Amino acid sequence: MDRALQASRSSFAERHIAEASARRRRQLVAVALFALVAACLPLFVTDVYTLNVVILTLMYLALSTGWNILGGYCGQISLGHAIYFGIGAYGTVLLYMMAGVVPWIGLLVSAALAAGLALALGYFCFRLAGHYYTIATIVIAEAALLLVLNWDWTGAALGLQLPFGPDSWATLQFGRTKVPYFYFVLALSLLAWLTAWIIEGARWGYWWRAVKDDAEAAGSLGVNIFYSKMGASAISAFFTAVGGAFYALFTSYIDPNSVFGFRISLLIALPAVLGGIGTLWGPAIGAVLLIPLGEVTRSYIGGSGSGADLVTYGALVVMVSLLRPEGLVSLLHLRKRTRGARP
Amino acid sequence: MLEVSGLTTAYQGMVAISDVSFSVKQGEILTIAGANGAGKSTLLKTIAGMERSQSGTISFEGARINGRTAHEITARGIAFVPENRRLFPRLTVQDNLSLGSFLFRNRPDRDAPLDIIFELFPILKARLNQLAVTLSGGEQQMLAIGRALMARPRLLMLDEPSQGIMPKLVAQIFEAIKIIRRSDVTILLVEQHLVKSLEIADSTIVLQTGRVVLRGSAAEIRNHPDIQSAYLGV
Repeated sequence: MDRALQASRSSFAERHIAEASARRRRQLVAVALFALVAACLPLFVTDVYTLNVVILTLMYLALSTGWNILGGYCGQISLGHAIYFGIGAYGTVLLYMMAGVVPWIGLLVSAALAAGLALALGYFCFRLAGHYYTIATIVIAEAALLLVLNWDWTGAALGLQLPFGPDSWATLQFGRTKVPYFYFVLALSLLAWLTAWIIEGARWGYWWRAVKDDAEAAGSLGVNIFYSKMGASAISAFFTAVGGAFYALFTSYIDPNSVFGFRISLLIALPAVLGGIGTLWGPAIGAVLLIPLGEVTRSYIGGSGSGADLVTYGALVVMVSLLRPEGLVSLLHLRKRTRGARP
Repeated sequence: MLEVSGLTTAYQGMVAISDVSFSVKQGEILTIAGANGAGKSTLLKTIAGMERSQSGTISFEGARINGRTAHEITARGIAFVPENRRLFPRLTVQDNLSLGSFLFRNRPDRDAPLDIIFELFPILKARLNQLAVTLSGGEQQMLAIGRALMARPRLLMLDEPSQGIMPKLVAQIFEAIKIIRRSDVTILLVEQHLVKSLEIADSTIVLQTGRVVLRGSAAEIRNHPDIQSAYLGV
């Protein structure tokens, strides 16, 4: 069989691959256009509040895209990603304050740390299937929150204040203007998207989706199920931690609840869930819709931040799960599907 | 090329197969017959590494493979088409096929079997961009066999390929099995459809409550009085 198969050349397969790669090229072009438009935003948006919302939106876009790598492609639903977010935030700040490590290096070190932790936790947690895995992630993140809350070395419940310095790209500190943060987070979300894009086309991506759909069948096709989950988990944790580091630098003050809290885990997962889990554009669509809406309701209705944004999120989730269970991204495919349905 | 000896597999103390021994030569078709619950599927799953054996050995091309994980066994050249096909329903036909071939690093290596698969099952070519869930039962079975062939196996194990499929397509699938065998692939076939499977098989084992109760060439089994009365209704 082997020899017989080797000898045959598949012109048909080649043409099909050409079509698929044309589609993937179009995705790249689309994202380049989006990025170009986004990069011009600070020219028009001079209002600090609006820019703040835009920055947070891009941050959650990057985070949710990272979450989607594990939750969407590999099907391992984590509701404890705050642990990686917190490690990125605390790691970067602590390294800077205690050892004078510049944030650029600090964020890479803490992201690597988060990826390492993801592997260590995965070693145990990936023996659990489905909902049990999800519950384990919640519990572990809550344990981490309690640990940091009571640990003097990390500032306990008071949190950490980043020491003020002059504006500089070296320390990633900008007091006068938020525009540099905007470009940083834009680059981060592009990087996260690009990683997801590469995964979609790579055999790793296929393996992960197979593990998600039917792990046993995937195994019988030669997929190493455990390694697949571990790999997806490490990449996902890495991006989450970089996002956390960015958040710490951006707000220059962190406390346990704001970075290790369950709310963060939820906000990381929600855009992907709303936009379309396991899709390339889902997390982006979800974040662009969800985060500004949440911020606006919080500042206009919420008053003292009493949770009006959470109510809005809840309502959105209910609406999407009733009307578009596959996520908002499925709206984009409506036209295509009707066209394809004709024989 | 495959030798199984003294194989025993149990689920939580319940013995599913017990002391099963047989061997297959390269390029042969061995069919495994038996009533429901006789342990046919368990036997294939144990060889595929999806169930763990309690005792006995499985050796493939001279190397012992029991105790290895499913993906390692697949990488050694054994492909398994499980019962009920186990496709990825929300992936396209193309993606399902591709998933069989990612053992190989290079594109040409991965895509090489496609032409042969499309020759065996032309319908797959027409359905390439459809989701697997939209295929009919017979088409899904063809896809499952195609997906297994993408790994370029030297041993192909099929669990009830004719289950729930209209007769016309069953004939096509059996025809395909004969063609696959011609390219020197060894085949283990679990099949309820005993008459049909004896037509294409070289040898047969019959399982009953986990034990081998009969073995022989396909012709011997076909003419065996017990089989004639129990299975063939003659």
